[in-house]
Amino acid sequence: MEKIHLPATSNTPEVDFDFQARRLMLRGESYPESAAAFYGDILESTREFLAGLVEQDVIVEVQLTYFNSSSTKMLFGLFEMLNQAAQAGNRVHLHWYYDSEDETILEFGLELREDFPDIEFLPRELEV
Amino acid sequence: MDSPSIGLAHTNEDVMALFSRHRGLQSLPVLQKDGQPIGLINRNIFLAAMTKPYYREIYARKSCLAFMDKEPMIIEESMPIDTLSHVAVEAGDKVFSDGFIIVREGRYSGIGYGMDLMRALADLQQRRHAQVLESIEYASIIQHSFLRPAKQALEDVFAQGHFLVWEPRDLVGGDAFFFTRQVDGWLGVVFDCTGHGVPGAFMTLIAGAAFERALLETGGKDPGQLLAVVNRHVKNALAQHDSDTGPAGRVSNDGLDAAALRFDDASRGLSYAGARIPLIVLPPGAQECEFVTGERMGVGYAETAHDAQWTVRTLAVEPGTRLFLATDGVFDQIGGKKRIAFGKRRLGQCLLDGASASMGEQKALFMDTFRAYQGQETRRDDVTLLGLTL
Repeated sequence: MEKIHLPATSNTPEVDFDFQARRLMLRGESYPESAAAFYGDILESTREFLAGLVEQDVIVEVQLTYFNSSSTKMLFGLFEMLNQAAQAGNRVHLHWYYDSEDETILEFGLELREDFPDIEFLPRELEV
Repeated sequence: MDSPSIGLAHTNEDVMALFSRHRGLQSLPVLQKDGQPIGLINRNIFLAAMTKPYYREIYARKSCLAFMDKEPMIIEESMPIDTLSHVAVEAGDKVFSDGFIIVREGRYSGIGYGMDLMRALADLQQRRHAQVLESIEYASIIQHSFLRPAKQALEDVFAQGHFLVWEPRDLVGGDAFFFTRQVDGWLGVVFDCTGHGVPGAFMTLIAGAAFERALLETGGKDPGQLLAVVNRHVKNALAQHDSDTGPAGRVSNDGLDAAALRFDDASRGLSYAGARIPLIVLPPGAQECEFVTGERMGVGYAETAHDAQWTVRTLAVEPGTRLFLATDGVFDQIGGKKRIAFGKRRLGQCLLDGASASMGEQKALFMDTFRAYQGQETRRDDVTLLGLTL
């Protein structure tokens, strides 16, 4: 599958989904005017990618500092897919990066761990 | 745009004469007898050629077609500026150096240059921008009016004992509040609808109407029941229960975060139900703010069940206790040296710092702290903070 690479803009994150390497990365901020439009194709490709996996490891790296509520819904959609892929026998490792002083992002990550228990949640505190 | 032209029977000598007479003339259209343009002579190309040795002697008496561009861009006068700009960009550099011929029903009408096009586009852009802005400014008047009764009720019940920060990011927004005085107490809600700007403001009207109805239907004594009824009304209003799709095949999945408070005068009992908006409690003399959290489930969203329930928490509050409700625009605002969210901790500290000040001063302290934290960063979302003293 073609990899998806989108550079960051002022209101959308850098997206680097290397499906061949089974490595998905999001970094930056996410508050596009229409989150559904921005994430639509990304989620579609990811769904396709996950459907073809059998007992594989998938590395997900997320380093976001801000996302608006509609982006949050899209992210939940992404994690839901990953959780299902994990239930289907794959191993999904979520590296969740957060600044040591940013309790907002850490708490969001902890909520994800609660909601998607089949994903291995790996909190990654960033250097001060 | 009115500019000299020349008939195709003329010679290069005539062209030379025209260019000498009209110093600013960049391009000279060549016309058939009936006025149809057949080409364009560029001043620089023409003069460069004619000043070469012997060219003048050879070409002066020959037809003016010799140095003419036979394929200039020709456009109808009626073509909209938008279309013209696309056509011009596709046609390439030539349009910007030579200009383009404008015709009315095929007959020469004038000549346009790149600069003219730029100017027209800039004007158009400005007019459109002004139109959108005026429309949003008017929407803002409506949104203010819509919130006025709640503001007035807050004034009536709390007078100096409250403050409200309500700052939509884009003139109008998705944050709003609802407040009403009851015979035996009051009911207050701060809510944050999905989106901001115009879509957010649409949602506040739907949600606001839902709160009004829910108040009538439930009697407004139970904030949890209130959210449950609002949930159903919003889901129904947006038809989020069926598979109807909107434009571009997209189903609406919108709703709101909310915190609902109900205070009973006689018992001095406070009850709270929350959908992703915490209640911040600061009793007199406290060393820190307490964050009471509600459900993590939003109101009205497609994924929220039609019969969803929100737990009510009842709190004993001593007189002088301050309560605060803040939307995520406060918590999530990016700023500071590290460009991270303002967060719960900073908000709690800021509210604690102003605990002994008047409500007016506490508001000012919050605004100063928040603005300083935001610094050069843009506002990410609508911002609402309501403070109440019991």
